Amino acid sequence: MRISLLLALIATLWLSNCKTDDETPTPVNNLVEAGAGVLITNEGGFNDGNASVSYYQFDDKSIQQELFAGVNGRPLGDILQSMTIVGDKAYLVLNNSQRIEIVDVNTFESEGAIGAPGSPRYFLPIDAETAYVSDLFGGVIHVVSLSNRAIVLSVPMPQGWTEQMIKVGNQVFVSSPSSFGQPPNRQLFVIDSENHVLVDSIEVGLSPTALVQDAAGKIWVLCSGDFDTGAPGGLYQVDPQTRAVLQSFPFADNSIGFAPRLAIDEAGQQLYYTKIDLYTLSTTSTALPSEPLIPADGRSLYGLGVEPGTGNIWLGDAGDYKSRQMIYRYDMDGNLLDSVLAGVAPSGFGFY
Amino acid sequence: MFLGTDNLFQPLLPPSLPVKFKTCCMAFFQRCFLRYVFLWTVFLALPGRAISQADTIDIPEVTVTASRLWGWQPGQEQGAIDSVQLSLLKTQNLSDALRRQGGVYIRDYGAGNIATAAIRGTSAGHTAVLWNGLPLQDPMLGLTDLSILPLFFFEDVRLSLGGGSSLWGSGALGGAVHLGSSREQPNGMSLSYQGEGGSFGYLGQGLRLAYGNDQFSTSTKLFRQTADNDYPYEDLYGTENRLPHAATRQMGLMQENTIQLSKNQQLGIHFWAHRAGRDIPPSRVQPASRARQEDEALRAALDWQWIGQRSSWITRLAAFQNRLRYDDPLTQTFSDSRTRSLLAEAEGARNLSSGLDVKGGLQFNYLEALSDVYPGFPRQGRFAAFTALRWESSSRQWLAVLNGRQEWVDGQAIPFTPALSLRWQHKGGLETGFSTSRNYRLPTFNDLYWPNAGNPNLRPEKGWNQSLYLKTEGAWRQWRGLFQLSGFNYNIQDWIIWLPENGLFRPENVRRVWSRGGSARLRLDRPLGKGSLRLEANYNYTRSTNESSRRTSDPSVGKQLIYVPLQQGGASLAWQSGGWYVAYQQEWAGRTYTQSDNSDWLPGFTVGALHVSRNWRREPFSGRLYVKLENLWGEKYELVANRPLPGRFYRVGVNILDFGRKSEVRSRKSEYGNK
Repeated sequence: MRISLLLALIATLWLSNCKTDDETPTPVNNLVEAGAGVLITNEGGFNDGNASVSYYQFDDKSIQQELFAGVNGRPLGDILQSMTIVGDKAYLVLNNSQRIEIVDVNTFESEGAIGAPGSPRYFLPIDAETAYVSDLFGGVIHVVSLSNRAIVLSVPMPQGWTEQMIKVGNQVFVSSPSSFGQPPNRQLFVIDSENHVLVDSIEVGLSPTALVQDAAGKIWVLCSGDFDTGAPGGLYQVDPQTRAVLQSFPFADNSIGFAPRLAIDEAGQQLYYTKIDLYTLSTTSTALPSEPLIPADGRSLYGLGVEPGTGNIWLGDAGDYKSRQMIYRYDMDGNLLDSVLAGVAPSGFGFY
Repeated sequence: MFLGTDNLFQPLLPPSLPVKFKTCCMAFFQRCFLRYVFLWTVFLALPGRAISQADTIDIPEVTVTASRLWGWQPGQEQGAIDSVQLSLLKTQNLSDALRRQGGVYIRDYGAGNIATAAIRGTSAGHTAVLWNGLPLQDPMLGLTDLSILPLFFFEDVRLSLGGGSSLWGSGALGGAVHLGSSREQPNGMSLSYQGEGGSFGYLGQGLRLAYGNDQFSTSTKLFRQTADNDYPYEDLYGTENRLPHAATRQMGLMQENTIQLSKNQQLGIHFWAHRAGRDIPPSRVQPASRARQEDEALRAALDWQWIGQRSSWITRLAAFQNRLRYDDPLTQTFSDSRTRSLLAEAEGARNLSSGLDVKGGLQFNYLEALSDVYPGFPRQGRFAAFTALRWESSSRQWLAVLNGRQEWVDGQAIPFTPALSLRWQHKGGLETGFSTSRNYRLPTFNDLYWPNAGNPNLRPEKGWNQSLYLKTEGAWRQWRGLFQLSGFNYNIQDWIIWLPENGLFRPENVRRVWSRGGSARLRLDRPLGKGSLRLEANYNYTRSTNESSRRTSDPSVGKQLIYVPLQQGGASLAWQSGGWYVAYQQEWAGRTYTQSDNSDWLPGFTVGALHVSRNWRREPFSGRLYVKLENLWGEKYELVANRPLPGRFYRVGVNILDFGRKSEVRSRKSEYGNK
């Protein structure tokens, strides 16, 4: 869109603070410095082509918008579903653009893209050469060759929707929320990442959605429940070695929304999840918290991240998904520290 | 392909014929047509041939005495599509005709896909589209897709700006589009044809066969339109491609009959079958699409009219059935929805004394939906009573209509909607009109019943409209002119929007919208040589803002609604002489916001078009041959974000009018006349 290009040009001029060529964006110095700020992924509106990445700097509390467009002189794409930082590269999964942009995380210069036909969701590095990509409708996990920047294999999965992934040794655990038109799913799937085959599944709660790994190496699964029947989901702890469910915390109701988030602090000891409001519990808790740490207060809590070092909590408000909205920074006790306007539907936070 | 085994039109062909043969029939028809058009084109180009200019005949004004379409909204601004322009648009769709009308924004997804109309800063669901007074809105979506309403079926297209719920019920909040057939009674047999082809594989054809005598008249229209729509566009990253997966085809049959039962009784029988199949192209941000949509509609209506000395009656019975199938293998989205509606209406008018008329009526409307997206079988019964009183001063200077409508939905009363409409005319050519009305729109079936989201407790959207216009007509030397200024003010409460609530999108009565604005129109005519010149221009200003929010800090409050351009306008210059018609049109719109906080927008655009047509006659045929150059300057623009519209393209068309009849369509006396 012309306005995006205009913004991109303005941002380029401003960032480089020197004479620039109108046609080719000038390479810029490091925009993102390790430990100096937080990257915000703004999902954007469906078919609006306004997905973006913002960067908040801790020292002066300033925010830079449209990082990718500013540097590369073109829009990022449509529906930025997730960002995975691997070394000094960030993999930006653009769901409705059906591609994964690869950028240098320091400069945000594009280093190419991987086409992902379908509806890509999340990216998981397996080794230096291979990565997995989940998909909303395809019933597959794509195996991507990073050197060829192409999908080389698609592992068929029992459920249409594959979501988040965690790699433990040679096993990849895949969450699979219930898909439209399929029976409700309770299984967390296990793929052998050497042979790229589905090897097992573990029964957890209804509609396994979000995954994190704690300090003890255990996997936590946030299950979102069943919208159709109203059956609630819950929070489950799984031992990746024995594939046994260690703890089950079923929710009392299914009032959870369609995009529940799960995050864990840097130490891997404190869990945070959204269930309309934001809740927290220790990995050693024996019960779910009864009161939220941060109430939504009319906001549509969307993005969730935990800042390494400080343990500060970042939340994004999706608003009406049709306007730029605020992101909020809280301390670990739930006291508001700062809030600033980000892009459209801020859905995630990346710490580098 | 189109004549598949489950085809809606299969009954039209003998059932014993194999499908393959039926498909062949269509192909043969198409090939013959092309050869025919080609021959005619060559023939017409030959020098020395006597191609006389067809005379102009008057198409009789539509007169349906008992309908509330005419004369019951005197204070409201109305626009009719110029009939010469309309005759060049016959193979196109309603969206193409409304685009150049001031005060309307067409949300056109491009490439023959969904197009809806929003009037004066309201939304697409606030525009009632009526066929002979019968509402065409889909009960599930509450919208009417204008891209599958071919203009070939309608001789009269009229736009009413301003609320009309007191006459037309739910939906007429922003305005109404009236579609009507000609009540012209052919004498004997008549046959006419229009075909148009051009860029991006476009071919539209219509055939009309009519017969009439003193007791009976019948007209059958067949229409078919196909297009590849593979026009060049730039994707989000600036790469130029041809639009893939964008083919559309539609086919329809309209059959209408009028039987004169006695001197003052008339029976009308109308039947309309339509089928459209469309590939839905990717948006500019998507690399590919495999989505497809099929629409089928069957509509039947019966009306009986009785016209006495001082009173008249009309009763109507209509049954509509729509089917919408949407398949997207990429997103595994498959839906099949059928809606049915039944409408029964009785309306009577009586002249009480000189200049005083009263009208009253009852309406029953039953709606149901059967869809694989709904768990149940939603249905709704609506009952309404309406009445109107019309007074005209003996000098005919004043005309006033007071009317009201009360509707009950499933037995529950919804707000009473009164309206007052006033017009004052001066012999000197000055006219002014004022109207104020209360209007409403009922929640759609999707609003009420969508699984895990629908809210059965939604209230109807409602609001008050005021509008005022001032019009003057005059002549100065060789010039004749019309100038009109108008203003409007809409306040709409309980506007339903889908918002995230507790993590799920749900429809809610949250929005309060204030839309206000004005427009100016100018028309100048003068003779030029043996012909005439007409200049038209319009400018529209619409400020439509969101006035409330559920949230404490909502960046959309006070902001312009999305897809409502603040400024819009157009101008055209047309010259007519010796059977030639040349018109240049320029349409223009300012910035249109696409985000509710107005942080992003579609840039303004301006699009030019040149239309040239030549009348011809070769006994017993006569008609018009025309060329259209659209988007002449190759403007890259969108009416919906990331749904590109075609750049420069051309069309060539021919129409062949009634056998042996003097034929040419004459412009109506007043395009902005208020009946």
